Amino acid sequence: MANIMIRKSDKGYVFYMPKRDIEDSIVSMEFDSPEKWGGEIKLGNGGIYYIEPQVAPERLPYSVRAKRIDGVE
Amino acid sequence: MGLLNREEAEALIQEVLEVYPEKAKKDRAKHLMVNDKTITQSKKCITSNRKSVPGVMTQRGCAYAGARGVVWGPFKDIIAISHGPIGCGQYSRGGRRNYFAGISGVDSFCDVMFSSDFQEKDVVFGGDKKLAKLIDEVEGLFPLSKALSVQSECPIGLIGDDIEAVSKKKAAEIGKTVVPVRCEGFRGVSQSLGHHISNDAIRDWILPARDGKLDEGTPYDVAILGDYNIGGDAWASRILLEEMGLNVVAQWSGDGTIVEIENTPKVKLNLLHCYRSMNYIARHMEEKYNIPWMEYNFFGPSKIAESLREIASHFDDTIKEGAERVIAKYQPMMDAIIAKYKPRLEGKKVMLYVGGLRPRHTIGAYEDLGMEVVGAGYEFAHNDDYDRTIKEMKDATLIYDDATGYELEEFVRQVKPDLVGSGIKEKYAFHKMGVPFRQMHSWDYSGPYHGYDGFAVFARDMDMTVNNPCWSMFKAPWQQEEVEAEQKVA
Amino acid sequence: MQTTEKVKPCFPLFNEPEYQNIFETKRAYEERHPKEKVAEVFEWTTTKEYQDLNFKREALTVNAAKACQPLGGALCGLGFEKTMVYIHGSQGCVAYFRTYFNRHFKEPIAFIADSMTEDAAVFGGQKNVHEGLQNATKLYDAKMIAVCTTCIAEVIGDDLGAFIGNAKKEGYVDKDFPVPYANTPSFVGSHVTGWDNMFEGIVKYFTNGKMEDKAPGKNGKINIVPGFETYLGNYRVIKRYMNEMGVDYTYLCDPDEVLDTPATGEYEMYAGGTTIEEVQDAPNAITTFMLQSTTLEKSKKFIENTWNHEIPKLNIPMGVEWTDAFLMKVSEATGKEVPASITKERGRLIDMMTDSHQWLHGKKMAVFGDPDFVMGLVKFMLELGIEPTHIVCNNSNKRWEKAMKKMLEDSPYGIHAKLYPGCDLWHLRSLCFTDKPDFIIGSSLGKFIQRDTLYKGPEFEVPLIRLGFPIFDRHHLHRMTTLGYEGGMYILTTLTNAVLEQLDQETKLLGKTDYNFDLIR
Repeated sequence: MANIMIRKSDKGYVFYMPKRDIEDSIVSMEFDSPEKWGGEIKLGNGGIYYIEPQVAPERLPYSVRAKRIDGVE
Repeated sequence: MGLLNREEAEALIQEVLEVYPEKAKKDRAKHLMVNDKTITQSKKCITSNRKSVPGVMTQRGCAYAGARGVVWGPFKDIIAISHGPIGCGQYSRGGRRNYFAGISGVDSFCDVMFSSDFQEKDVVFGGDKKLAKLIDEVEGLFPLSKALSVQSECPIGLIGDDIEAVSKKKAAEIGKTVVPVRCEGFRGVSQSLGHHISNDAIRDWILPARDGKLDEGTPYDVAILGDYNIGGDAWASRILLEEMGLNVVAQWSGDGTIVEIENTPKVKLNLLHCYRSMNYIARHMEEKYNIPWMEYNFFGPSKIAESLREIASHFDDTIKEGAERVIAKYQPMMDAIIAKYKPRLEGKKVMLYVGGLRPRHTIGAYEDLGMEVVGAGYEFAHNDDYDRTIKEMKDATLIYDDATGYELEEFVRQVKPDLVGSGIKEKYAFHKMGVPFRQMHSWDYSGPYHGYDGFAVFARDMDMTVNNPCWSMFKAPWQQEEVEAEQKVA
Repeated sequence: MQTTEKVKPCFPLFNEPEYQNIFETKRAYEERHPKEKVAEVFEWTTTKEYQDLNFKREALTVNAAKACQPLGGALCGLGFEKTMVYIHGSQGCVAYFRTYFNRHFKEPIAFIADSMTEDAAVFGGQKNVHEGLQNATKLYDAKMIAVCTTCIAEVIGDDLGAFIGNAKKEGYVDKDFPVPYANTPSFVGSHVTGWDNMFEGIVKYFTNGKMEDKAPGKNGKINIVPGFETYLGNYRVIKRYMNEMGVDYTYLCDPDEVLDTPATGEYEMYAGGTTIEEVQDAPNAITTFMLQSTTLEKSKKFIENTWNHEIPKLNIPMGVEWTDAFLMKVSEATGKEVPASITKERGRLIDMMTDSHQWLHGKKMAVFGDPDFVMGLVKFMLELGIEPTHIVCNNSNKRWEKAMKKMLEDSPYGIHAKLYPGCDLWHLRSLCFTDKPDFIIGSSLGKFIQRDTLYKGPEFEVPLIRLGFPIFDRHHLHRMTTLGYEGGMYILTTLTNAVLEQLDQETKLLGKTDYNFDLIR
């Protein structure tokens, strides 16, 4: 588990993990509705992380704990 | 195109690595690469922000240096206390040339050195009491300071002192902010962690001070983050932002003050120059205060114009017009400077090895002068810096992370650049080798280099160093005859 | 805005109206104290009341005039042939030491660190020593690696001797490869202590337990131990004297080549220096001359006890009498006479003193710097008829204090002098306001006192004369000489011309003070 920050850019969500300096686009997010947001997220670099599904944050950027499922770190 | 092609560059790296013992070789190999612009993610080909190999002459400093020297030192009304033995405070004094406007020792303290000068008994019995007393003494002698910051040196973290508790207690007593900064030199792998720790300390101990109490500000309020006013860089930047119609509410941290930090949450845009040392706080403010941030680059007219326009794009037409007006105002001067210096510098090759930003940020300025950067590396960059660097550098150029003295010398010997830009530790070795050299941390006691006025100085300085007659006098006449004779025989 | 005709750097660029304007407009964002308040507090910092408060400090050091032990240890290591200085501890320290010497000598400085980080702080630094020594021996082609420590290693209590021993046992470094070491904790003493410790470490390594075939006088030489010495000319002048006297000598620690390599197109990491053979043979010398006697206590003890040398009781050979004493002692020890050439040099110095005394006599000068340097300088000042006033030594010791007191009491020119052992340059700042000397003599670190005193008004300015270490803001002064008669000539010239320069400053106002703006002085 690590702290990550999710931001919004003109091309969609951006993933940032300060501890590892990983900044990448999020190509897919399992749940992306106001009521349910998060789940498995896939990064442009192939990495896969998991965020406990939750109510979508009111605004971005938003810091949240994420678990690494697979991929480069 | 560099002097070397890809195969030659790869071979050079292999050759340089050959001298290391097996383990060190394996480690160092990961930190050296030949640039390939098709790569989008640097971490696939270069490792960074890892521990330095023992015994190889790294050029890196420590977390304390990143905290005291980079982030805290330049704030002029915050007294930076070097807490621990005397050396760190002494060595970090005055080296970074963070200019400030104020009365030193009275309302500004950038060039005053404060230390708790730890003695053996402080190590044995702990230094908290000494720190508490010291804060009282600071307060008594320097009543116009606005705040204090305490930078821990190595022993503090090892002997279990509680500088946070002391800071809290004394802050309440003296009615000023006292920020404990846990930047012991053994933490992390370089200056970089000191930046991060300092960003976090500002976030926790200063930034929220006026939460809920700030006025709306104006629609044109911005802050400069990551400009340390080296040789006056921040002033040469501020002048342009103000001329285009923006209000620069805060400078972090060159010539900055604590209230500027406290007022930053009201800005509409954070402008980030040194990404490496202040991206953390920019990201935090984006999340907490909804303030967007953008990186900009004020080295050289091409990047300055690009940056001014990008900054303006976040604002209305008055600012956009302002940006165009500023660009138009300075362009003729820039054209004249380039007309004067470019013919003298065109085609010259440059190798850079600096901290965490400048190797990529100055490429545009060199290119404005017709010069070409054929090698670049950082002491303490991270992946995200290399991501940005790969895009700026040409194919088949050398990129090196945490380079050792030996590697730098070998690269320069073989690539034979016309100019090396690096730090004081590297400078004199290259002087001996007859390679023109400029210090790119301190601007070699010149500057500013930021902004339009700064570029004129930059151009002048590169010219004076590349073209000074001293480089042509290395061989005595009788030695030249020997050289020619040898060549004839050969 | 810049023009191509004259590109302006920081100064005078920021004196242009557009930048002056920014300084004013920026104030609105700074919530600074009003200018009147700042002026009032500045005035207060110049008072006796402030000075009393300032001298009550117990915990706080402001503007120190000393550095930490490993800096001195590193300089000592540099003075031996093909020796790599290796610092066991955090890498940031080493970056600082190199930088500090780079700025003073304007030379490349090669030291390495073994980069201890958080895990080493927890588990100890043995792994760093092993790997570090292995890499260093492979990379830097040294004949010796001289190891000293930073405070991290000292605080966690690393057993350096055992680590190096294990490194040899386990093959990280050849078992015959010389790795002398010293503990140089930053929280004890200062850089001069570190020099002493490293020196003791090196001579001990090569001679301790190897004394069977050694006897004082066997090689007919004398040893010279410089101490923390940053004037290259000082190494050279002593060598010249020895050569002129026909005295065979060994300079124990001799960095004057490595700190002054020529620009040839090649960078040579090593040059000159005392060889290992010379160190091994050093106990066979007639005796050992310690040039900085108040700060070499540990080395002195070792040499007396192990080498059985009767170390001559001498002060630093600065000024006339102490150079006389040094030369006579050398002559006495070796049986070689002081030659006419040196006597002539002495006569030339005395001649210069007669020529310049009128400008120096009765001048009041404050002094700060390292213990032996300050002692020698004050001694020479007394010989010149200069009256030392505030004498600040941030890294003083009891021996020094006692000797200084005696010296000042013995001279009619010492009556105004007051010793400030352990004080820093913020103390000296106060003293320069409340009891203004004509000049301060010291390192570049004193320049801020000159600035601050000038701010009070031109008549309060105390100009700085740069002698000592570090000198960062003037070029090449480290090449000069302060020891011997030659050193006397340099110091005399520097002081006299500073006095004349100042007089010109004060008398160059046309039609106002220029009645005294003389062509001939």
